[in-house]
Amino acid sequence: MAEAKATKPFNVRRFLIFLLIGVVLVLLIAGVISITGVWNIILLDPMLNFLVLMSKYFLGSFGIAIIVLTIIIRLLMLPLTMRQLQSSKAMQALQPKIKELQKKYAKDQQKLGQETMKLYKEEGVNPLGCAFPMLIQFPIWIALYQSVIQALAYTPENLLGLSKQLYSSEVIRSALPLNHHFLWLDLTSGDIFMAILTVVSMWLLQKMSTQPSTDPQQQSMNRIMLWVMPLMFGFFSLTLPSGLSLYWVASNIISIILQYRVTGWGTLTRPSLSFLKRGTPQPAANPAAKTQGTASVGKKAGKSIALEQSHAKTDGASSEKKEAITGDIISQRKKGSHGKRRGKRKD
Amino acid sequence: MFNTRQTRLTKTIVIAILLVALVLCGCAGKRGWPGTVSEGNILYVCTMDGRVLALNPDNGTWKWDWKPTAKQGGQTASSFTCAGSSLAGGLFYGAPAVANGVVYVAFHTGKVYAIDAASTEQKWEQDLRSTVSGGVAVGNGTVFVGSSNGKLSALDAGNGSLKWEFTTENEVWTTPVVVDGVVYFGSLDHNLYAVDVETHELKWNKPFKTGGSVAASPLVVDGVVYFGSFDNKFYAVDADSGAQKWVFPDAGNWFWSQAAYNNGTIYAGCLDHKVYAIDAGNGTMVWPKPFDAGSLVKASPVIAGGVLVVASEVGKVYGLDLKTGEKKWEFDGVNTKVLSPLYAAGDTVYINSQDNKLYALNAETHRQIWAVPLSK
Repeated sequence: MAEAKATKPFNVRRFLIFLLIGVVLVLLIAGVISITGVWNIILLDPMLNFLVLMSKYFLGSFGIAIIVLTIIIRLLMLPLTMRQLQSSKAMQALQPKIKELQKKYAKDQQKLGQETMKLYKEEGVNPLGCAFPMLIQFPIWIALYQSVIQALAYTPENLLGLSKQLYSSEVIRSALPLNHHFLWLDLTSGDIFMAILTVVSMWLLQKMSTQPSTDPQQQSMNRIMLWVMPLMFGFFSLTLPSGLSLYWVASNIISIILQYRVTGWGTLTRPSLSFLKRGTPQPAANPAAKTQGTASVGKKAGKSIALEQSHAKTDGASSEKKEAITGDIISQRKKGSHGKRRGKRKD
Repeated sequence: MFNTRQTRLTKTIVIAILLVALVLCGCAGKRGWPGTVSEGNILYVCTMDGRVLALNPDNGTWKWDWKPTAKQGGQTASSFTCAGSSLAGGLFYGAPAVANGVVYVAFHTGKVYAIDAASTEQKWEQDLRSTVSGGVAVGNGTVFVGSSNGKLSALDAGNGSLKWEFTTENEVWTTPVVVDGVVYFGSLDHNLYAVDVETHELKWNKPFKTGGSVAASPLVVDGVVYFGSFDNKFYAVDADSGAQKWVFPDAGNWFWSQAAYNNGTIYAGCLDHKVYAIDAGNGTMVWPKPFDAGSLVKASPVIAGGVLVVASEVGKVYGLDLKTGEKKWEFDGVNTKVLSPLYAAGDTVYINSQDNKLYALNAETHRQIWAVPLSK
């Protein structure tokens, strides 16, 4: 063990990250910089200045700049987003097994916790795997949101505040204030059509990303979330500048595309239709089967298949049917995710 | 179990963070920067809460208080955007104008009012139907107001009717200046305009083009127009021809306030925290180095009591030597932001602060004469 540690290669990237964090912490503690200052220097100011610069060069259109910056940021975060979606999918795939454990150890919570963690370890799944990438992305989303609303600068006070955050480049400084008109929109005021687009795109995304559940409490919560979030943002779109709605709609469309690439239409597909397509009578088991076929996060593929087989037995479905599914999964793994989806549809 | 909890936790975090971000970012509230003028022995002050006051300049006591009725004025912005729904008539982004015993004010909502200074009766009102982010000017029997529809509106000072409009290609945020039958104003379309009051036409062959938006009010002295721009440059333009006389290119941020003039020197505050003294003849620096105010200088500087008085955004007020730029005194009695233009009458400087107070300061002795809250 000690030898293994001694021979571990020096990780330059990790060292640099820790060094950067250390320097920032020392500067914060010493009072040389403030949290707001760090936030502005690292995230907000670069994004804001880039947005202003793009507005100048993309036909002088702030609307196009918002869309382009949203696409760029989402592309830069693509590895994290994909990791989050795949982790989420892997967790979903383990649900039947976790349900079994919950039934088995219903009276012993400590044992349940131990067994659950053991299962995660065996399957090579990190239970926080989908939370960490999401948490890392939050600051970037917020900075993007802030940069959009600050660049709008639709009041004299906003513009005065913006003057403090712009780089000294004359090209950037002379670009302000930005052109607030894009298509039919005045980006500084709310718009009913953008509100509708926000509601529709967010509802679709919510519907696609909602994990199916047999738990009535969870189902009820899912139903609430499905409507509350889109309607809430629809209200914001009516009352806040439509530049923000443009960002939300662009961001939602990208999320929908990514979600589709990883999990397909999710719960957007009717259960009856998925039954016909996938040949299993249990709606809750479908996503698991599909996940097994497409996910690449599980380190131990063989075990995942074994899990699926045992799950099939507990579900009471015919062993032949389940074997056919697992066989399909194995062949799909070899083909890649596109092939997997196509293969299933043919079934 | 874990997944359900995790999902709930994640969604709760998403919603909470988004809501906090929305509140913090969407609530970048408007407060305005109202100004002060005087005529006779009365100070006329626009307030942060949308009223107009007449004060005794000796002790700051109120002579009268005027606000539009709820039916007339009012804040048009949604209270959801934290614009301040409690305002009596809206926000001000400039000082009132006074001529022949009538006070003219323009609210950010686009409503312009004429108030009889003796009786406090409203003489007329006019709705420009577009927001106003500057002050008003009066001259040649006409009231001039710029608005966000890109127009400079000329209203009859007697009855408020619209006489004519001059259209630019972007919003007009400057307080216009009327000199010798010509109204000078800047636009966010990067141009400075000079429009003949009688013909309503551009006096020059073409507007004077700068590299950035022009939100600072021009200063016209001895046939030269002095003004700064958002291209970080300060210009001197011939008032007759519109030709550039010189340009001062060395600032580090926008100019957004009217400059002051004294004995051949222009004094300009800049958002780069500096105050520049520029030779009015050739555009060179007069002081060995610009004065560093420590934070951005949005309030227009004034000259009173033989010193240049400047105020920084954080509320520090400085008295500077006109020739050297050295600090003669510092007043830190204003403990809040100062963005409104300073106003000088004799040796006294009047400072509107963002906490809705008016300070009277003797520029020679740098002692506070009085300070009064402008809200009831």
